[in-house]
Amino acid sequence: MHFFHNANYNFVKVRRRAMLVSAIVIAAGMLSILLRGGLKESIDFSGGALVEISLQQPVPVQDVRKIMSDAGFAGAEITRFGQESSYLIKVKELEAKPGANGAAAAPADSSLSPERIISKQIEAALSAGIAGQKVEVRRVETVGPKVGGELRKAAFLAVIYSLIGILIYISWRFQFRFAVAAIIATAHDALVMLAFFSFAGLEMSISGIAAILTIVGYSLADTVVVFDRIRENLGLRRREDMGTLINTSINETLSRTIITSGTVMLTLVALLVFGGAVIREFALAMTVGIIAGTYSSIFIAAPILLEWQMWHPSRAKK
Amino acid sequence: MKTRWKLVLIVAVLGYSLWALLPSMRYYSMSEDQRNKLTNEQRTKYVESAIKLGLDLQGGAHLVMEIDDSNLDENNKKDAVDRVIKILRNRIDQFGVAEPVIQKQGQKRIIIELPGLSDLERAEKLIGQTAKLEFRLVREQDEIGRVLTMLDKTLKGVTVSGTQVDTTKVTTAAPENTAADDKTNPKVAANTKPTTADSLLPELKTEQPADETNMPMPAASPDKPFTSYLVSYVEGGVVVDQRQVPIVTALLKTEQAQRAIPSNSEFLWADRTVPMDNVQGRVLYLCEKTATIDGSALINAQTRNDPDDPSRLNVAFTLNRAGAIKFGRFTGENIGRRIRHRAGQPGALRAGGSEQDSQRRRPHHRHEGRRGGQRSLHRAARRRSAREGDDGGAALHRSHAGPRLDRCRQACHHGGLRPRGRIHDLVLPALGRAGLHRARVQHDHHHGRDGNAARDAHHAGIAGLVLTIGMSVDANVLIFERIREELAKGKTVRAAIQAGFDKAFATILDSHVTTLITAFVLWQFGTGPIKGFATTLSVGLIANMFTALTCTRVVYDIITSRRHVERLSI
Repeated sequence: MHFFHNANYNFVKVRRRAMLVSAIVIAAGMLSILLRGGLKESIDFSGGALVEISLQQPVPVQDVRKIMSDAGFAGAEITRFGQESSYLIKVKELEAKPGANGAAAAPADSSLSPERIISKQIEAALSAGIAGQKVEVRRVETVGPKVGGELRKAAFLAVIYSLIGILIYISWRFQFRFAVAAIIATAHDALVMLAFFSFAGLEMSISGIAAILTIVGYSLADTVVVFDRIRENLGLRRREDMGTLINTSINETLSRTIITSGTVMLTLVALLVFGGAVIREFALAMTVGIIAGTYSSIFIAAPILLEWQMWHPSRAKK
Repeated sequence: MKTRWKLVLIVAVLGYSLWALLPSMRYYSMSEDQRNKLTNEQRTKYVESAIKLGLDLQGGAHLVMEIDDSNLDENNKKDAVDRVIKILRNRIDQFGVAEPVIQKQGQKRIIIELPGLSDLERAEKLIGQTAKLEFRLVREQDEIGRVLTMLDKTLKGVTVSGTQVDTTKVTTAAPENTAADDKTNPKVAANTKPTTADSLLPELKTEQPADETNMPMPAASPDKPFTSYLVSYVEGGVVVDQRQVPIVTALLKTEQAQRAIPSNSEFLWADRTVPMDNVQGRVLYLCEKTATIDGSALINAQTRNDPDDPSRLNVAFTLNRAGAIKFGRFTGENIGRRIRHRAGQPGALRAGGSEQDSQRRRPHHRHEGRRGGQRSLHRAARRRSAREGDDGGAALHRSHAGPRLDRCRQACHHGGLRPRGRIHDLVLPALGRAGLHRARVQHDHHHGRDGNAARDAHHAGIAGLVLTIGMSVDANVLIFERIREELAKGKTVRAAIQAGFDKAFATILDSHVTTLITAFVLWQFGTGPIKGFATTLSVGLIANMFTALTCTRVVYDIITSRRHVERLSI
């Protein structure tokens, strides 16, 4: 396989436009997050209960919704899931409904946690509400209120510390400006993914965090490969001006970038097609991330080096 | 030459990986029938050495509990988590769960994973109980007789409302014990809240089939208000019809009854029923009010099969030095008398002050001279029906837990391999060559750390695999591209390969190390699935570098050294 034989596209020339496009996408994403009052949080963060049920015959979602609001869970979120007759019911309230809708509510048992009582009440309400069908409960998840805050904190700390670690390593192996450029490109990808989560109305869950972290890792590796070539060329072609040098380096690694991204994309497409409903959102977010990551190492990371050079020429070639 | 040693290394790693994966391949390709035919030993061996499936792939319960140590002093706080983990492990062992995972998370959290267990509620109830163990002396027969006579005297004319309560409803309707004191004080409201003894009743529900309620019950006669409820006597106690337990409990709680019972004694129910002629009876014991030995002296307790009688279970327990000395003296002084082994659960959960059958103190109790003067005692108990046996076994051994557990996060996946299980099958084979040893190292990690870092095929783990595949492809692509470039410069095949590998090395190293930094930080800060992701990723990355820089190189070297290669098709 050999793509782009002697490729020579002028990536550097369009860098300003590319940066503008990125800025617009990210700004729109952030605006969308702001307008919606933050990202939608899954019960991993907000706490609550999730019940996955499966019926023999599909029932309109509205019916399930009505059963739930009759049982006192007006805020319940009901989605059809995977197969036609499977439903996901998510309740974010953490207080059990004492005797909500008499018959439907399960007896309160003091030895159970409130989240667990909620999930029991949901189960009871559904079994009572859906007539003539066996309600099979396939999955129950309950999350207490404490976990969410800690998860947020841990995720934040993890990002900060890994950025510091990468900054140090790349500054040592390359130069400080390479490190800054790599981090900006990585942050770009994470932000684009957050924007995607908001646009597509996807929930932020532990899987979502894992997807973003994967993309951070991938994008970094991708950027480092381009930087490695720039570093090498800086030593070989001392006469060349920075713009040409960066452009040549990107073109030289283009074939590799496409082959690698293409392979990862194939894996993700396989997950999208065969992975089932649970993994679909996750695979979709990853696909967007891979595109962003590949794009950012070509159009964002390397051009930032050039901008830096123009803005501060004294720190030119070592 | 050098190539030969590399080849040996590769073959060794590959061989080891295959050998390590063999149990997984065998076990997961077995049919349900074949698995059932395995002996327990074989099964344990397979389960231990085969790759574990995450709970979302095989079904099961996942709980994260937090310890509430607010009521503990500094000394106890320090190792509270470890003590609780030990206790939980003991309790969970009695569930009969194949491969439970119990691990510490942070300072106060405990993660519990019970594969294959779909009854989250049952798990939570058993795990969440704060338990207590104590030993009390049972009063002598003649003293019981005296107290019973006194009770009949003081309880004359006392009626307890709600006497016709169906035992199955007792849980929700707490017996409202109203006592009437002759004519002077028409109605005295007695203790209305269920306390230790009758909060045990929820457990009774399951033991009491509804159809038995038709059996005639002994009615209270006016001159024997208390003893008329007794159906029989057993050694050290009296037997009450199971259905009348709430009435008797209510009677015992009245002021009048309290006057009859000596202040240093207390009536306690046995925790399960004994079959009488046509009814289920429940034994009522009179014991000392203060326990001679309580759970603070307990180090460890376990249920075992009785070596002499397979239909019975034994509880073996170990006491600390002080407790052992006390226990030795206590049992020695009271040979031939009954000791009440009480295992109740005080605290927020108040599941009951259940009571084990009295243990007749006989010299046949084995005192195993263990280090530090610890002793252990074998105590027989009937093995009951399958499910009851499980929980009953756990109830037999309730140890002193102290700190309370709060639930944080729990998930229950019903059912086993479901459609999403295919992801697992899809991703692992796709890894191909590199995947073999990658999976192995992961597995290693798993056991090397005493199950502390059980890696499951969660979504996050799958994400880690996707990234690993990407990096693996990338390393090889980088090498190929470099070789191609060198060839284009007009180098010979051999020289091009040499230069290609040398130049690609720095790139591969840098891109892998930066990703490893992220993985390491995640491993440090992440929990649960994120940690799984980080581990999968790091192991995958290291395996990648080995594959790309050693294995691929050896293949090239062998090809170029065996014959003269003129042209390389890349």
